[in-house]
Amino acid sequence: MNKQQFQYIYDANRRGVLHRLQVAASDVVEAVRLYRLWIHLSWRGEIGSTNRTYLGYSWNIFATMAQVIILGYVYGSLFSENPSTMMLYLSAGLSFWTFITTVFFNSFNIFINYRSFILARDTPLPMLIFCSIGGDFILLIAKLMSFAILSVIFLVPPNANTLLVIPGVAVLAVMAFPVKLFCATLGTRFRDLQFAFQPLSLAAFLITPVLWHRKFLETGSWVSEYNPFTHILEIVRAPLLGESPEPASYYVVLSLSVVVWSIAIPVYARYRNRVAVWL
Amino acid sequence: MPSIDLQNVNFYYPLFLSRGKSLFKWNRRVGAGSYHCLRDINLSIRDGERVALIGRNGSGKSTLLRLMAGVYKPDRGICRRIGRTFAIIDSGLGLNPVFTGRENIHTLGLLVGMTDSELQRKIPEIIDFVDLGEFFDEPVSTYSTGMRARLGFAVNTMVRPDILLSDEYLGTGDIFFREKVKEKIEGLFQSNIVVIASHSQTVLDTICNRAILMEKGEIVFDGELKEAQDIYHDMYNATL
Repeated sequence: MNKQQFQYIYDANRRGVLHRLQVAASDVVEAVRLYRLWIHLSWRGEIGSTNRTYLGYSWNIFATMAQVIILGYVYGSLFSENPSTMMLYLSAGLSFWTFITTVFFNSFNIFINYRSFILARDTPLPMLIFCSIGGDFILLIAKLMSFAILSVIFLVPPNANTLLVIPGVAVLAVMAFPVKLFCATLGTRFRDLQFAFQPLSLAAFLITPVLWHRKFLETGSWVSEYNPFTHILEIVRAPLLGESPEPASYYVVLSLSVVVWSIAIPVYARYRNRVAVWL
Repeated sequence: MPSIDLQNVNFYYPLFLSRGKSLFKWNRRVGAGSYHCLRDINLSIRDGERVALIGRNGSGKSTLLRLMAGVYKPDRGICRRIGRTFAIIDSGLGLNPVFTGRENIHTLGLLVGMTDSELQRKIPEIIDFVDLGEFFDEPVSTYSTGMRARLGFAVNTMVRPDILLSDEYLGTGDIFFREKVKEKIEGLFQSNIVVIASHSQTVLDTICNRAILMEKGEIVFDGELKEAQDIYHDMYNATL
């Protein structure tokens, strides 16, 4: 533990953009340094969400399995697709979709949920974002267990493309951080946002190829082509299904990441001081 | 050496009507409501000073503590603080109600940078101090107010802080615990900084050697505790 940690200086008279960005960056660094804390918090928080249940956290695995099996049969016959292929497609898609939808549509109340934590002590706010992402990842892994189980049942071995899921998830994480930081900061001030965006997540779900496949579209393929969520989903789902994602998807997601980083960090830098009084 | 310095600190609290935090009312509300909580606060607290913050409800004591803790940032002026600081300034005492007592201790230990082995060494001592029995491994939400206060105090003092900032909440707890706390406070903070906001004469008398009297966001007196309390009582008498 270094001595510097115990020194706190806040000079409200320094309002330069550069200074603010510097402070924001040091928040992020400080948050990374507290990795043991946020790993612990996200683990306890996520696992604790199923306290007092008999099945515990494995509920998430069983519930996803049941969902995927039912939807796999129904949508398999609707689109005259083999149910086992459809089930694998759905379990990969739905697992990642849960992650994506939480990041983009349910991040507005992160700081609000950690109210007592923020008001009790000087906490670097990005730490709470890491907590939240950590929790989402734990849920993602639990849901992907259903995919793993189904792969074993249907004897679908992984291939070389499967490895591409690693960079895919990395890109997803890199993108999730600024999106969550931005949404959480603004969501604390504008309480309407969480209500405005929650219903939109359903719309996004229906226009993104999660339940259906892009190849089923005879007309109107633009719906999926110009939908960023398609590409975000593509870079993680395609590898799991043993396909290699289209390069275009990587371009879209990476350029989107650049955009969100360059919006989120200045917004956070500008309003980080206000979060505690907005709570 | 631990120290706290505030220079020309001004702080505004935005006022939101319960309908106010709304996207579509931004134009009507922004800037319209903000309350000037702290006005030109100049304050310097040095090692060994144990400061009582007194003043009526809403005079800015808690806000000042939060600024010292770094939870709130001033709108104008400079806050400077040197020393490992613990703040007991939130009614939840920084405890997570879903976690058990043990998990809360673990969380805070990690926050202040303790290693797992340090924590393992510390926990028996804390168990002994908080005296919660089997409740130590139950969620904090099942605790009584006094039990929470005890755990909160233990959690926030498990690493010896250089600076302790405390709001009202130290007062809770039964007489057995209050004696323990007194001992601990007296033992721990002989040479360090304590800033405590309280209405309890006994708490202040036993702990503090300096007093700051606040009124409407300003410091109206800074000096001896006895004198400050006299002025405070005069203020009260004047309203009668």
